[in-house]
Amino acid sequence: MNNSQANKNIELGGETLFQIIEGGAKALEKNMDKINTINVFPVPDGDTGTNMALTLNSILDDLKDSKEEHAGKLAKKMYDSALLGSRGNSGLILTQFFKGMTQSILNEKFLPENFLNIFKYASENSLNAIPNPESGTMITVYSDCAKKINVIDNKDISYILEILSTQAIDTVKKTPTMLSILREANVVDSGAFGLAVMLIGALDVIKNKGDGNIDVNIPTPDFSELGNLNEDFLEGIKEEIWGYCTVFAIKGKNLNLKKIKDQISKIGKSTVVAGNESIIKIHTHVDNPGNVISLGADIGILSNIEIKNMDEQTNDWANNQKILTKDDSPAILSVAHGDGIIKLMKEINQNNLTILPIDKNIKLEINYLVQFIEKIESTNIIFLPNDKNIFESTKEIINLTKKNLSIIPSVSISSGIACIFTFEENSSIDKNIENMNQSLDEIITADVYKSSQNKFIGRIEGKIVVNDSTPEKVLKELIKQTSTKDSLVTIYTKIKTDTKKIEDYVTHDTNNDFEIEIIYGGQYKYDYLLSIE
Amino acid sequence: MNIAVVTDSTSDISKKLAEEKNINIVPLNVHFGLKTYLDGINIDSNTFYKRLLEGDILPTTSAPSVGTFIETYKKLSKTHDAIISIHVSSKTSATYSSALQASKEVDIPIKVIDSGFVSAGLAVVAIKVAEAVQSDKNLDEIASLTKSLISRTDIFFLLETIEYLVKGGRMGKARGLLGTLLKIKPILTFDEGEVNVAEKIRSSKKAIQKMHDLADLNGPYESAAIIYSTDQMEPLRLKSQLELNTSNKNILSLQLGPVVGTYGGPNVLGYAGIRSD
Repeated sequence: MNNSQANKNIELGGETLFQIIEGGAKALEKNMDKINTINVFPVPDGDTGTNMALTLNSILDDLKDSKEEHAGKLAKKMYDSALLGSRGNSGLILTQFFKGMTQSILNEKFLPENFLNIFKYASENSLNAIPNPESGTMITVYSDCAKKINVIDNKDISYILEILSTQAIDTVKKTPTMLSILREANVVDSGAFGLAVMLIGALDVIKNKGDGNIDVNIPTPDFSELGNLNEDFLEGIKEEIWGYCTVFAIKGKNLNLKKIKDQISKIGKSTVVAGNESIIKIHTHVDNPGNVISLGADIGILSNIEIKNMDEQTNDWANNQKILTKDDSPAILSVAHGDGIIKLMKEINQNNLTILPIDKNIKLEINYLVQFIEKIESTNIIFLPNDKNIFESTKEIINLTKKNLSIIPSVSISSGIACIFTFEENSSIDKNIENMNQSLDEIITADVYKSSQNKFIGRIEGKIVVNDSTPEKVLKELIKQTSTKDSLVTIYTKIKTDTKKIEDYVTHDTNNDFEIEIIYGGQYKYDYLLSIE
Repeated sequence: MNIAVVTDSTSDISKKLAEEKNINIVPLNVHFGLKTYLDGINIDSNTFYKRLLEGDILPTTSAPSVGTFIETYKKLSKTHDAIISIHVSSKTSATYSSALQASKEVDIPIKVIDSGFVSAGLAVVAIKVAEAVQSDKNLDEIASLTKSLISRTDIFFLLETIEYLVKGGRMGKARGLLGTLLKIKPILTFDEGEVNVAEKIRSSKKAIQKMHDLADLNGPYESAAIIYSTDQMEPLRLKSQLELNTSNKNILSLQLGPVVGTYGGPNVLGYAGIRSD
């Protein structure tokens, strides 16, 4: 009698359910932009907050006049409405919450524990509905909240919403430890945060009799579980390439680090075990990953399992080595000066390029160049002298080095850049040389520098064609003489300057419809280096 | 077996063509702020591009809801024995997830397939499949044909600017292009369902030439379609190039609709083709 009396008091109807969603919707709308800004997963399109708000709003719009008192019927209506009105990925996962509601709330009245059960169903539904469910997302909030069912022995909806909101925020903080893309961006998951916001809005309405229109701060990522652990862990890995590289984490209570380490070390090699009493991360090389995984499963809950066949990696590596010795992937050696130029060259080719920096006061000695070439690992080297004098004076080095050296007649920095741009790693050395020579045929190079008579000289392909009082006037004349419709004019500047101003100046009063790009080069001597292609 | 073909509006198949080929198109949503339009239904491409280029808010897009798919599937289940539903790459949109979930709620057999493509890449496949269901094939045969067509499809496109792709968060594997010192006109493709760089080119002129080279050197194609957004001249030139290398001379011209246009922006030049067996 007492029991049923007690239950009767805490029985809730459609109205409460509606208020919960209304509060959630208000809070989502209020915090929508914030949620959008941290949206990096699964697609970084900054609309998670909008989509979640739109999904809830469409439910409220559909039902605002219905005044459905029957909780089970209302739940069904909400789900139907969510099915139609959900927006985007987050909306789809949010729909699973409403599906869970129909599975958990069937009758006219519902109990707070029915509300808790929604999370269990939502978690299961999401795993079924989403093709590639990931941890560290809304789904983790569902499953973490669902676990509270065993912990909470309280029949008060306010209290339950409070526990759920707190749990949701805690989970949100941990999402970057579960999803690497969040870790890289150093943000918490947007959808998970959206769910937390929704619960906080609901709490505000139910507990504080507010309207849900409250600001929620984006939680700071909490790396305490994995933080230092990751560092220690990486520090500890001394790779031995053998068998299956197996990595996973065990969560549990009172975990005995030393004992686990001893157990794992007996099965695997290169074993690293790091962590604390509640979470332990394991890295080991074994011939049968199944054994070590099942050992882990006996100890606690497993997560972040990664298994790689090291032998496969070894084979790949060995194969690559063979290709290298057979075709000998070519290296490019490029002469350069200017911090901007060097940065640009490195950006265009990160894998095959070696830069030989030169200075205006120091003549490039042949012996130094030969020594430099010998130090490059590849046997096949494409040399870009990028200067007329260096090109002329280094022709003989082919006979001074054991390497298979090909010299490309690039006589300016800007033509050298064009050559580096055409390089294709997967093409043969002959094909690359052919492409580079072809690109030299296709571009015109020009430069502007100051003469000893304080005049500015303009050259096209090394021949003086113009002189004038300012480098910009010379630049403009050079462009006029070389560019045609559809040309691409690239200008490298000696000093960091207002590129827009130069662009406006040189394109003013010209009829040619060419593309222009002005980049800081930092080269010495030349106020401007140009390529016209 | 009477099999219905469903795709989504990111295929950029026009209403007329869809009717002609008996293809059912489920629209995605395009939003200007909180105002929602159904792709190609209550917003047309020309209105859309005008707003995109002249307006001050950037549109966003969202996948059709599960309910929209359920409605479509249920309606088709009254007249068909089975459904093949082919969609935009699941790595760029939740459309596939919505369709997959809806397929479980309908009584007739439904195969939902992730094409890994968008626009013409999806269109050429869907059109071939729509032709194939005319012959007496069962659903499994149609599904395996679809997968084979997908594996034989090339897509390449050149954007006047990658700005819209960047702002819409769809750079995929081409993220490396961001923050580079040199402006690059990349020719893009779809690689395992994500945008990736096919060729890095420095000038527009060379990039357009490269598109022609690609249409010439790849293939031969059994069928193909070109893609445009605002300008049609360059795409028409590409179409003549493509004709030389494609057995079905009826090469389609597809205009990027509002949803795909949100990411493609103005003056897109592209094509998709199914390589001959």
